[in-house]
Parts: sequence; C-alpha cells; structure tokens
Amino acid sequence: MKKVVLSLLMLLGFVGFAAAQQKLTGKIINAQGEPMVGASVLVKGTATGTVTDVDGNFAISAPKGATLVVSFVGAQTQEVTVGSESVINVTLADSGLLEEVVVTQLGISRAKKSLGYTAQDLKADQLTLARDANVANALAGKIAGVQVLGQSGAKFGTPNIRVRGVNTLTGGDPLYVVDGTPTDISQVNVDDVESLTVLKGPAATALYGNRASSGVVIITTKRAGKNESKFEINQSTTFDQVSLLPKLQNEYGGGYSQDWETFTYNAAVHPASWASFNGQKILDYSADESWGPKIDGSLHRSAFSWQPGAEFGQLTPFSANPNNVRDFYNKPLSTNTNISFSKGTESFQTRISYTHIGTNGIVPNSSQGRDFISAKNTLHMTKNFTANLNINYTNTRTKNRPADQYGSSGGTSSTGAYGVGNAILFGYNQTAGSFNQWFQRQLRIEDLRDYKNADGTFRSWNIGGPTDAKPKYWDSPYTQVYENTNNLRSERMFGDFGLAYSFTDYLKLSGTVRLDLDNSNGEGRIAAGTLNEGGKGGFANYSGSAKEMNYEAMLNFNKTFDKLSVTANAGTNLRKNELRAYFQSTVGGLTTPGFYNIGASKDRPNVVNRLFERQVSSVFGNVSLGYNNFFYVEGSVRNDWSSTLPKENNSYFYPSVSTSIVVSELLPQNNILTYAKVRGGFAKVGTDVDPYQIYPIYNIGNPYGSNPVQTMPSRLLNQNLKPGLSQSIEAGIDLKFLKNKIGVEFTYYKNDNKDQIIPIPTAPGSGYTSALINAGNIQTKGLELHLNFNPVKTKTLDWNMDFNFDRSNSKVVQLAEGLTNYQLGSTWRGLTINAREGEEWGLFVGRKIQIDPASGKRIVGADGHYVYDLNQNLGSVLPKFKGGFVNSLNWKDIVFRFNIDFIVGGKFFSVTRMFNAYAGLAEETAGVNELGKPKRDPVANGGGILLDGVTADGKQNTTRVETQEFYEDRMFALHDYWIYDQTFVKLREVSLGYNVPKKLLGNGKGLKNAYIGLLVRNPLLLYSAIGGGIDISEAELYWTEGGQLPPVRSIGLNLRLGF
Amino acid sequence: MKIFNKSMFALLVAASMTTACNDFGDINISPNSPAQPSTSSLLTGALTNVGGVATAMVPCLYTQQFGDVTYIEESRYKTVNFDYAGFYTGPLNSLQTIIQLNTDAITKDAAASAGSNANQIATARILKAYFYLNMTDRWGDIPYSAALKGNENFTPAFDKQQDIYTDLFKELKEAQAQFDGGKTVSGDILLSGNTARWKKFANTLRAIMALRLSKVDATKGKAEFVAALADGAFTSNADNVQFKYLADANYEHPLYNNYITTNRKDFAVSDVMVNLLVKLNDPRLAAFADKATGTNTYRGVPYAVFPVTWKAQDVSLAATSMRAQNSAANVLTYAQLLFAQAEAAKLGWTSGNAKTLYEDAIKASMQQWGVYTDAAYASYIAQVDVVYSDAKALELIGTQRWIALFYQGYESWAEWRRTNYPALTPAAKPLNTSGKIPRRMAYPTSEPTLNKTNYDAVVARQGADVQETKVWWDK
Repeated sequence: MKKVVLSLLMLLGFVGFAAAQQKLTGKIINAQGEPMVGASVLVKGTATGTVTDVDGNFAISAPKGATLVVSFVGAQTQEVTVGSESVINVTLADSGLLEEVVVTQLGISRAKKSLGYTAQDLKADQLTLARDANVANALAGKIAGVQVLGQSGAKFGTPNIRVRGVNTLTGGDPLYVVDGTPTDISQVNVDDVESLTVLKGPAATALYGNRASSGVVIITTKRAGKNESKFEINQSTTFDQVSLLPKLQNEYGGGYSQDWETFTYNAAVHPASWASFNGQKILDYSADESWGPKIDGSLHRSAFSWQPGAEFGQLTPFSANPNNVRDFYNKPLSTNTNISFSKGTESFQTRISYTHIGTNGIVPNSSQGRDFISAKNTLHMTKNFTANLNINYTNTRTKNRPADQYGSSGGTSSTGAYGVGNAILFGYNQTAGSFNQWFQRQLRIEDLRDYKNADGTFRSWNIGGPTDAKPKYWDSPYTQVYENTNNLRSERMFGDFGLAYSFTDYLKLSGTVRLDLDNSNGEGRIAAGTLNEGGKGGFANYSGSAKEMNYEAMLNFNKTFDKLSVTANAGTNLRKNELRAYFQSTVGGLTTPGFYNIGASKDRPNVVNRLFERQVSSVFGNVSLGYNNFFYVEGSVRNDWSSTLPKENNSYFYPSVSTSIVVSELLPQNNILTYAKVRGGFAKVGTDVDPYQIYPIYNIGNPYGSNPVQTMPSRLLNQNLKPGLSQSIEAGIDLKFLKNKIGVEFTYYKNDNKDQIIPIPTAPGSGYTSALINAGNIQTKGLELHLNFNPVKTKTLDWNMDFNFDRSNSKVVQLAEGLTNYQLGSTWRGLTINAREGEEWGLFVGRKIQIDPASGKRIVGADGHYVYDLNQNLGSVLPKFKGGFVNSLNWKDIVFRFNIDFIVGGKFFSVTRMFNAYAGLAEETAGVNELGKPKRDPVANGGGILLDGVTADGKQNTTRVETQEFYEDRMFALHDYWIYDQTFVKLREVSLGYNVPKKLLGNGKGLKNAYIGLLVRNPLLLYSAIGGGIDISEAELYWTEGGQLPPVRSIGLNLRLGF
Repeated sequence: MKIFNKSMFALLVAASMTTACNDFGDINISPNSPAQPSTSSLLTGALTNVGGVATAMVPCLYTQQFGDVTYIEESRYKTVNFDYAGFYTGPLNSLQTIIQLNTDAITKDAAASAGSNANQIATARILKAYFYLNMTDRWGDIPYSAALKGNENFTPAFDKQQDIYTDLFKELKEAQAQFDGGKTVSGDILLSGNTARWKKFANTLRAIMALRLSKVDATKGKAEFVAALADGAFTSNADNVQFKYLADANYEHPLYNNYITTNRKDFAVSDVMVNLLVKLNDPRLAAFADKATGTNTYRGVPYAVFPVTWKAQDVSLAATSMRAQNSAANVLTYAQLLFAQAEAAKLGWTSGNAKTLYEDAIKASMQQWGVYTDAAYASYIAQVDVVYSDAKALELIGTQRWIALFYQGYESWAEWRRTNYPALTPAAKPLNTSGKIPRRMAYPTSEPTLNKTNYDAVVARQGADVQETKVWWDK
C-alpha cells in the first residue's frame, strides 16, 4: 500500500515515508487569539512534522512522551511534551517579528518567506478603507505593478486592471479566483473578502494555465472559525455628487456666428399670427455649438419660444447660466449594508452573509441595486473527511445606465462577455456627451427639464428652426434620461462543492466541482418622436447566459522531515465554458409607438444568437522543498489540452521553477537587519485562442427583400495554429529593518510573450484585412518597489505607511514577418494607437505640430496657424512610472487612513477637450487675449489669439488668428494638440473613525465591538496634467475617451457593529 | 488497502481525463456562422455594394453638384486617404469565390443550382470589372492581378492602371459573350438574371471606359469604343441600370437616411448647380432640388464657404422625389452613353452626328428625370448656352453631361478630370495643401506599413500618394 503512495510521490520527484503512531490534533494561535497559518509542528529528534492549515489546525502522529517543537517565524518557538491527551492547543508569543502568510496558487496559504516570487496581498481593512463597493476600484495604488483603469461611478461600471504593463498584444485583464473558483471581480462582495493576493509573474501563475498570462488575483473570503460565534453589521450611507466638471465659458451663447440673426416674417411659410415677430432677435437653434452672440442680456427668442407652451412667442433675456451643467446632475444618497453570521464548532463552520448596495446615480433617473448572498459551509464528517459547500449569489439591477461614448447618435453599448448590443440598448450619450462637447452655454436647465409637450411631442433646445421643431442633433438631456431608458439585470451564482479526505496527516485527496453561472438580460427603449431611430422609436433586448464548470481533483502532500519540508500537489482539471447570447432590436422604428416589443419592429428586426463552447483539460503538479527554514526551491509543471486549437496542436506543456533564500537566517542576530531574503524564478505559460478561429466560415447579412445575403469574412482563419507561449524571469529581494519598522520588497521582472495567436493585419488587396497567425514578441520589463514604514508603534499610537512604486516598459520586439505595425485602435481622422516593432506598446501615431529644433517651439505658418505633419510618432499610452501610498494612523481608539495614487507619463487623447474647444464651450475659447481685447473679436479689431510659436525662419510669431477658426477648423483632429500626459496624483479614499472602547460596550456578552466613522471616496484630484476638468483615472478607454461622464465623489458615514 | 484503492481511483480519474484530453469532437465548429457558401447569397451580398458606389457623396462634392451644409469638410478636400479594403474583402472576394465555386470540378455542379456555371461566371466577371473600374478611376494603380489570393499573397503588388484597363476590356468583352442561355442566375437583385441586360450593361460600361482613353491612348480608345457598340449597348432609358433601395431601414436610400432618419441634412444641392439650372431654366431643377423650407425658394448651398452663415432650412436639399426611402440610384444610363457617343463622334471615332447625339443625350436625361416635354426641351436646346456649336462642342457636352450625371458622383468626377469641363473654381478655403480639386484619392494608410515594398514601388512609378497626382488617363 505504502509502495503505491510512495511511487506516486516519486513520480512527483521526491521521496517520503510515514510512520503510524498516536494521532494528535490541535490549533496554534497567536497572542491575539488568531489562528497561525503555516506554523511548523515538528516531533523533536525525528523527521516527522507538519504545518498548520488556514485555521491554524494541525494533525500529527507522535508517540507519548515525545516533544513537539512549534515554530513560526516572527513568534517565539515553543516546545510541548505529548501526554495522554489527543488535542494540543498552543499559543505562541510574538517575538516582535511578524511572520507573513499569503494565499497563493491553488488557494494554498504559504509562509511568504518560502516563496520565490512576489505575492503582494491586501487584508480586508486595506480594501474596505472607504467601503468602495467594487474590489477592483479598491485596489488603486495599493499594489505595486497594478494599474486600475477606472471608470466613472456614474455608469456603475467595473474598472479594468492591468498587471505588470501589457502582456498580450491587445492587453488583458487578470484572472480572478475567489476561493478557488474563477469568476468576475464585479461579483465579489467586498465585505466578504478576508484577503486578496495579486500573483503578478508567470512563476506564480503557471498553475492557473492559459488565462493567467495577465496575472491572477486570488481572493479568499471570510469563513467561520472553530468555536466562533459572531454577528456583524456594517452599514454606510454616502452622499454622492459630481467631483469635477470641464471648465466652461459663460460669455457667448449658442450659434456659429456672433452676429444676431433676426426673424424675417415670410407669409409664404409662416402663420399670419407670426407677423408681429418680424425683427426679433433669434439664435441659430440648429447649432450645437457656442460661437454665437455675446451673452448680453438682450431680449431674444429662445428655442422654446417656438415650441408650444407658456413661453411660446415670448422674448426672454439672453443671460448666462454658469451652473446649468452642474445643476443637471443629482446629489443622491446611496447605501451599503452588510450583515453576517458566523458560527463554528469543531465539526462544522458556517458563515452566512447578506449585502444590499443601493446606488443612486448622479445622472437623474439612474440607479443600481445589488444584493449579495453568500454561504460558506464546512462539515468535518470524521476527523479525516471534510465536505465543503460555498455559494455566492449576486443580483444586480441597473436602471438607466448612462452611456459615456461619443455622440448623440453614434455610440454602442457593450454587454461585456456577451458581445451583443447596439446603440438602442444604452449607447446614446445625450448627457455628458452633449454638455462637454455640443451644447449652447446659455441654456437654462429648467427649460430643458420641461422636455415634453402636452400633446406628447418632445421639446429640444436644438431644433431645426422656428418652423422645424424636430431635434436636430440632440434631444433634451431629460428626454434621454426619462424616455430613452434602459433596464439591465443580472443574476450570478458561483461557488464550489468539494470533498476532501486525509489518508494520513500529510496526504490529502480532494475533489471539487466549481460553478460560475451568469444570467443577464436587459432592454433599451427609444421613444418615438425623439432624435434617434428616425424619430420612430426603437426597442432592443438581450439575454445571455455564461457558464463555467471546473472539475478538479487534487492530491496534496505536506510533510517535514527534520530540516526538510516538502509540500507537493498533483492534480487534474477539466474546464467547460458555455456562453449563449441572444439579442434583438427593432429596425426602422416601432409600428405602435409606446409599445416596446420586438414584434413592433417596422422592418425585419436585427437578431443575433450566439453560442460559444470551450473545453480545456489539464494535469498539473508542483513540489516545494524547504531546507532548515532558509532555503526553498519550488517547481511546477502543467499540461493543457484546449478544444479551440487544431487537434494536432492542442496540447501544450509549461513548467516553472523558483527559489528563495532567507539570508538573514545565516546572519547573527542584530537590531538593524531583521530579515533578508533573495528570490528568483523562471516560468512559462501557454495560451490558446477563442473558439471557432480555425475552420473557414461565411457571414450572413440582412436579406435584401426576399434575397438572402452572404458575405466573405474579412479575417482569414488558420487551421495550423499553435498554442502561444510566454516566458518570464523574476528576481527580487525582501528586507526588513529595525524589527520590522521598515520593510522593503524589490522585484525585477522580464516577460517575453512569444508566438501569440493574433489576427495580423494584411494588405486588403489579399481579400482579407487580417489573418490569424502565431506571431510576435511583446517584451515587458519592470521594477517594483513596495515599502512599508511603521515608525511608531506603541500601545496608543500605531502609524503605518505603505508605498508602492513601479516602472514598467512593454516593448514590441517582434510582430510577424513583413509586419512592423499592428493597429490597436483608431479615432478621429486617422489617429491610431499601435504596437510597432521596436517601439513601446501603445504608440500614438497621428498629426503632429512641427517643432523648431533651434528654439524647441512649435512652428506656425505665414497665416499664424500651426504647421503639422501627418503620421508622426506621438508617444506611448503606457505610464512611465506609477504608484500609491496608503497611510494608516491609529491613536488610541481613533483610526485615520487615506490612500493616494499617482501616474507619471503615458499619453492620452481627449475627445472631450477637443470638442469642448471646437464647439466654443471651453473656458479657453473665451475671455481676453494678451492685449486685453476679447479673444473672439475679429483679429482686425485687436481680437483673436497669438500662438506661441516661431515661423519657419525661426522668428517669433506675430500673426494673430481668429479664435473660432483656430479651434473649430484648425485644431480639430490636430491630434498632437489634444494628446496629454496622463500624469495625475489623486487622493482616492479618506476615512476617519472611532472604535468604541470595549469598556463602554458593557459586559461584552452582547455588543463586542463598535466602530463609527466618516468616509470619503474620490475626494480630490490633487494634480492632473490634462487639466480642463477631465479625470483621466476614470476614462472609458485606456487611451481615449469619447464623451466622459464626470467622476463621482462620495462622502458618508460608516457604522460597524459586532455581536 | 483502503488508501490503495482510493489512490488508484484518483490515478484512474486523472488518467481517463488525460486520454480523453485531446479529442473534443465538433465542439470547435462554429454554430454562429454558416460553414458552406451559397453563390446566390454571395451575389446578392456583392450587389448590395453597387448602391454605395453609385450614390457616393464625396465626388459629388468635388465636382460641386452638392455642397456641405454645416460641416464644411469634403467640399474643402479634407480627407486625403480613402480605404478600399471594403471592396476587396466585400464584393470582390465574394465574386472571386462565386467564379471559383463555378469553376472547380468539385463544387461546380452544386453551384449550378443557382444558375448555369457560365451565367454565374459571366455575371460575376462583369460585376468585378465594374468595381475594379471604379477603384482604378479613384486610386489609379491598384492591386489587381496579384489580388484576392488570400494566404498565397498577403502583400499584392499594384498593377499599372493601363494594364488594368487592358484586362478589364478583355474581361467585359469575354464575359458578355460567355452567357450560355442556361439556367437563370438567382440572387441577382440588380438585373433579375436577365442576360440580355447584363450584356448591354457590360458593353455600355466598356464604351464609357473606352472614352476615358481619349487623351492618353485614343487609338485603343477608339477601337474599344467601336467594338463595344458593335456588341450591343443601351438603346433607350429602359436599359438604364439602377440600384433600387428598399422601404427597409437596412437598405434605405442614403439621402433619406441623412435627411429623414437622422435629420442631419449634411448635404444640399450646391449654388453652382442651382444657379446654372436657374439660369438655363432647366426643367430638371425641380427633379434635383427642393425649395428651401424656410423661404420656399430655390437656393443652392454656398459651395465650400466657411464659416457657415446658413442653416439647412435656408438651402435647397436634394429633391424629395429622388430620395424616398426606396428611391433608385442611377448606376449607368442611356444619357451617359449618348453623351459618350456625341463626344466620340466629335473626336472622329465614329461617324455619328455629334449634334444629334448631344441633343438626344439631353432629351434622354430629361426623360430619365421625368421632366421632359417637347416644348421645354425645344426651348432648352435652342438657348445660347446650350445650343450645339462645333467650336465649343466639348465644353457643351462636358457641361450638359455634368448636369445629367447629377448624383452620379464618381462618373461626374472622372469625366471632369478627363475633360476639365465644366470649369470649376476650387474651394476658397481648402483644407488640402495644394488648394486644388483632387485628381485622385490616396491609398489607405495601411498600405505603407502592411505592403511597404509594393507601396514604395507604386509611388515611385505613379507619383506621390496625394490627391494632386493624376491617374494614367488623366492628362
């Protein structure tokens, strides 16, 4: 019997033996009563030993009278003699050196010193600093090498996260694993999170397979402890408001020209009753720009004075409304309430948690309600046999998600993984997309609020003219939020059911079935009579289901032989993904206005249904050997078989190896260098491709009448694809000084992402614009520094500062043969973002203003305008340097914390700034020039602007240009001018709270702890290079935005009670 | 034994999963797209692209038939590079596939269910020639003989326009003779599989093409012109080829979309066109333009004037009658052929009577636009600015052809480039550097990076990749 086990273990590359003796169990806790994870328990003088599990429990066999040596780095080693008892609980005293334990791959808790790679982690209190409901947002600035690409809170979205720069040609998000189950970060309830670990390099991610090539975020949720009984309430209420708006001018109103127009009565087209209007001042209502007349208070006919209602025929003063945009946005209250129940005995532990988050949007009539329910159950059926059931359920209801892309009529809506949707669903940006880009500055928000006539027709500020009340480019923003609505719902369930059997104290077999299931649906409406869908109304709906199943079996070996500790795992995994998406939208309008149904589609509705399936089978194993608590080496292997690759190439193998040496173990005890470790690793990770990228297909189109339509695909698929393979090296050093007062973690890494499966662009003459091949090498190199200072730690004062810095560079070393540039995206008039051979990834190429080499100044032509060249290098989108700072101060019972993050360098193209100026809305388009004359006055009268530049002969420019022509005509799509450094410093979160002293809580039988605090999210953008009221940390895309929704600031109260 | 059994079980589970690992059955066959082509559906798909060519607005702006209303851009020559990828990946690759499926021994029998192999091939060849002609007239030298080869050639070389013309003459000549009277082609939404009409379309197109060579190779032009007529071209407006838009938002007329569906009204008939038609008292004015809604008068939009001082309601939009949701767009007309014949006669290529052909062309155009009356026509052709004069024949033909080609932008632009008639004044505040009306469109910006060697070669041969470089036949 043992031989079989032994040969199995030998297969994994090590030898072990076992001795059957008296069985002992126990729990190791620290001075604070918390379980110590990964503490070593050794039978003195033998090779028998074990390590405690996540709950601090251990099981070991030892003869009566033997001595157990219980040790843990950072704690004083203790020896216990085995008597007749079968349970031994030990409390280890703090040695002043904290042993750090992190949860790493496969959900295994490991002593940090044994790891040959970085695994930076965050505990619950660091994540919930200001109770951001989104785990991804809460990461900003807290982990070195992690960049949070945030989005405005106004749209209830989830940010993207980039770990260690860009690891694939098109960039990718990390894999999120919650208690071993891969799922989506947005589905994680922050209040349930115990800890979060980011595994950055492939050395750490090798065991997660092909989805881990952009890193892994491992989340461990809270569970009940043995003999624990706890009831907790955590409630916060916040007051939300716009935190930043673009700077707008208030001197000129709507129009394309400063000259007032007057109404000319024409009996041929106007009713006779309008004769008296002849000669009245009118605006160009069809203009959605503000190059119009000076706001001088003169009596004029507003757009609404031509529409039915009290204002019809009235003259009103043409006056400024500086707060019209700000007044549009609401200042709602939002709540976040969690209750949790934990109960545990020796034989079962259960934690049940419920959270309700009610977020009211700053955009009127928008809101999101979320409910999270989770249950974590462990049953110890016998001493050796454990059953686990973990269930998480999330229900999300979003009402009227605002769009933040460009345009009143051009956006699209994304349904995430389902990849379906069109503008009807929620793509029209008629709020921020109007205010900051296409608007008339003088409008009164009260006039806009009155968006509907008594007869059901709609009112707009942007009409064709006195006789044409149809909206030209824009509805009232209120029409958008109250009539063109959307309703999105999703239900998600994820969790696992697992059984584990311990054959001995060192050998465990477990089998787990993991499920992640999403069901989403949504609908969008466009009211008949509004701007879009030809004014005929529209309706779209979708539903989707995405299911991932993982069937996992794992054999786990964990034993210490004298000075040698061995941890080994061997396992197999079968993953099945199935995604179904259904989408329908009306075409040509609704046959029955107000009846929102696909059956009301005037023309053949647009229908999409899709199914994607994928299977990946895997076997894997890893072994970690530790010698004498100071030398560790670890190796892993994995082989995947993916259904998406051609059969002959669908198997791929990848290994990793890493080592760490705790150098300080060799040094004499001293008071300066407390701890020192060097580490290094090498790893490979294989990747497959999306489903259906192998065999040729044809596309079907909308039938022309009764004739079916087929077209050729523009991408040539490939039956000879191979798996992609990235490899990386990583090395680092961890130091602690002055008894942990100063901690330093420094890491260098280099990833080579080779042979990626990418659709390389091909010359269109080939009949295809892209072809799928294996190609490329993106090389990412970087440095990461994590610093921790704990300058003061006394009974009353504990001050902790955590700094993260990182520098990363992602260079396109090679694309494909004959290919030197891969276009990642493009926007206005040929601005492209590219992966270009030999350059940094994310290179902007577009129109660049010429620079005079002598003076370094921009060159202007004889007409006084900038001179530019086409297709010039405009810099990379990737930041040069970034980081964050978390400050935490505990003084007696008061807790004060804040979090700052920053980015230096990297470029960004702002469409909002471009059109804000183009349309004469921006502050910079008005005011006076250096002569003290209004900029908008004609150059001939001393107006206009003088560009700071030199002419081709190097002389300082003296030719003034007309302001309107400059911004509206010349600067449009002069990309260089609207590309900014991303550099910003942002105060993200602040919290100030009071832990009610235990003595005030009574006898401790009821209320055990209580906390009350103030919190602020998004308090202040301390510095931003882009300026102009744009917050680049919350952009819709990593390189550009089309119509930015404003960032949201939340100020509130937080109350936590524990019973 | 217990442990043994369980360990073995675990190993067996692992082993069974491993052996099953690399066989996933048909899971990777897409259920979302057809794996099999249908030649009739591919033909319909290719034909839906004809409308886009026929109704393109940019060349209408270049030749000043239309003007921009609010955003004064293409009328000031803003865009330099135009993309042709949609032609190659769209209709051309589809038509190439149709030809291939009707040629390959393995597929041709199955393909014949959608029409005889010969009929399908002939139809596809004519249509391919139509698209390629439009492309070479726009960009000059383009990938042709090395194009549409998929992974055999991802960097196709550019053929000289002269060689492309030579081959297109051959293709059109062969294709129109290839119809075999077999099963009618299905999926033909342009000419309903009517082979007689396809032949006339091919031969008329060949005649128009031949006249393009009037300045660069008159000898070949004349020979091809005469041969094309001999093979049988249009004989009346009934032969006109039109692309029919549908009362379906998926296939609605582009001006209906711009004016009604999106309410943008970005383009209006230019003052250059309106003023001329008013001056000539041209009955086609009402067929081309509406009165401005704000004033109830005809007013062409001031051409390429910036900044704007008018609104859509102040200017004449294209006539309601020509831009209903399901209006048809002109692809190739009898009037075009008559103008070509008039010019050919004037050039001495044929023995026809230039004056008669010129007047017939005007008459055909008026009939085509539905505004013909004997009286109006008689007084129209008698007026001093219209009446035929041998001395000014080319200018008269050029100006009248420009009117007749209203909203047939690419034809109008090609004829203007070839003849320089009518005399057009370039935009006052151009956005291009030369300030001249474009003579070609620049290649898509992807070519210099994706096809550099061939791109460099074509630029060296043809001239700079700019709007001002003239294509081969433009002298």
